[in-house]
Amino acid sequence: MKILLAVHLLLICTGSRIFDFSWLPAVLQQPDIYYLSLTGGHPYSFFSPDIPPQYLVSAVITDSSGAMTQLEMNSSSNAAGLRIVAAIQLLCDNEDYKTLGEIVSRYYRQLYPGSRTIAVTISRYLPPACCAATRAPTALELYKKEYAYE
Amino acid sequence: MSKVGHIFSANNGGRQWLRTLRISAGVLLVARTLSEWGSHTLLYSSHGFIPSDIAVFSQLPFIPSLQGLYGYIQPYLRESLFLQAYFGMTLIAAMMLVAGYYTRIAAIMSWALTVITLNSSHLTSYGFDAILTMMLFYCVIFAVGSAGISETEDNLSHVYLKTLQFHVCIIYFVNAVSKITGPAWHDGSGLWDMVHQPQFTSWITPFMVRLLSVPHVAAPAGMLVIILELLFPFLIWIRPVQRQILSAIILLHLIIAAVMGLWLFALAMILLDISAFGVIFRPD
Repeated sequence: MKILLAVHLLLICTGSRIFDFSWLPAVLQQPDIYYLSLTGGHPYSFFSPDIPPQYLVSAVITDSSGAMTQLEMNSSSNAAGLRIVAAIQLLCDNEDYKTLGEIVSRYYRQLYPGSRTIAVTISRYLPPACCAATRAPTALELYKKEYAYE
Repeated sequence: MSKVGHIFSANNGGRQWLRTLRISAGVLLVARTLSEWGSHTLLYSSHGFIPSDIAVFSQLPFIPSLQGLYGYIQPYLRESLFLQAYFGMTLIAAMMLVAGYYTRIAAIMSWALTVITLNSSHLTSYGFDAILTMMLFYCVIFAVGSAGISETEDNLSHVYLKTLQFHVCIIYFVNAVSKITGPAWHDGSGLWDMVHQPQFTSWITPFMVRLLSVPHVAAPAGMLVIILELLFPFLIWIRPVQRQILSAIILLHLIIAAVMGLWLFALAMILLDISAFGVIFRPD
């Protein structure tokens, strides 16, 4: 049992992918994806080495009466919001804006079942230069699409 | 005993820490399940916001998924009812784990249901899910219950504790080394960018932005985070400072939670720290 736990900790170390473990046997260099999924293994590099690029995702929802509502995706909205933020980061990092646009439109369609169209805009968020808030943040538009529902 | 050596001794913490780990993991699973209650259809069903083909694409084929399980009973049950039953079962297993009722079965059920949920939603998972799965995994392989413990398992208690403690140290050390390798945490821009993330804001964020705008604050604050995470895996073993370093790291998680609104993730990290190193707060 002690040996198994030692190997487990070694796999957790190699799974972090931060150090060079090329001197180890191949089977230990990169833990199996199944092993990491079952044990909660993770690269553990939260918000590092740098803060990843940030994205603004907003939607303009038009209901059947023509009334428009503008919303911005924020993790503090609810638990589902926090999960969609994780998807935003992953898909934007892979530049898969089309899939993300569809996901965001489906998300708001569920929250606003009476919506007729949902226009989704995905932008790269550029914060003010560090470390004085003398310049307002800006956003660089990456993707825009309107989704229509019957 | 030496100032460093006492924590390596075979009998620190007794079995109390296993109870802390079990209750912590159960509480986290209850918190996650309840916080998402009402959103399960939105998050996990074929009518949810993740299209089925994308959800299936990111799944590991040899681990069950919610979509796969529902496929077996689709003719007999509506998907929303299936999800309610599934997460109701998760809630019961988590509460059994907290209460210490049929602990081994509760631990296996909680872990298995969490792994299935995670495999169904890789696209929307984040650090909290990894920490929860890790704690539940340890609940399964460690004898976290009090009934029917064999002498061998009882003797292994201190090995289990060291495994958990080293795992926590690896997390902080890896995170610190990763921060050192990039420039952002040296010049303060890491912290600056962190409080400017449009998706992670709270009522305290504007105050932090103003604070970091003061000249010569952001860079030292960023370095302080690196130093704390880097020193934690070493200082936590040294008796005169271990309570202070544990308190400091818990404070860091509380600040992250308040500034970014990541309360569940912060709760997971704090409970993990307390499960692994809470024994140091025991009176000698």
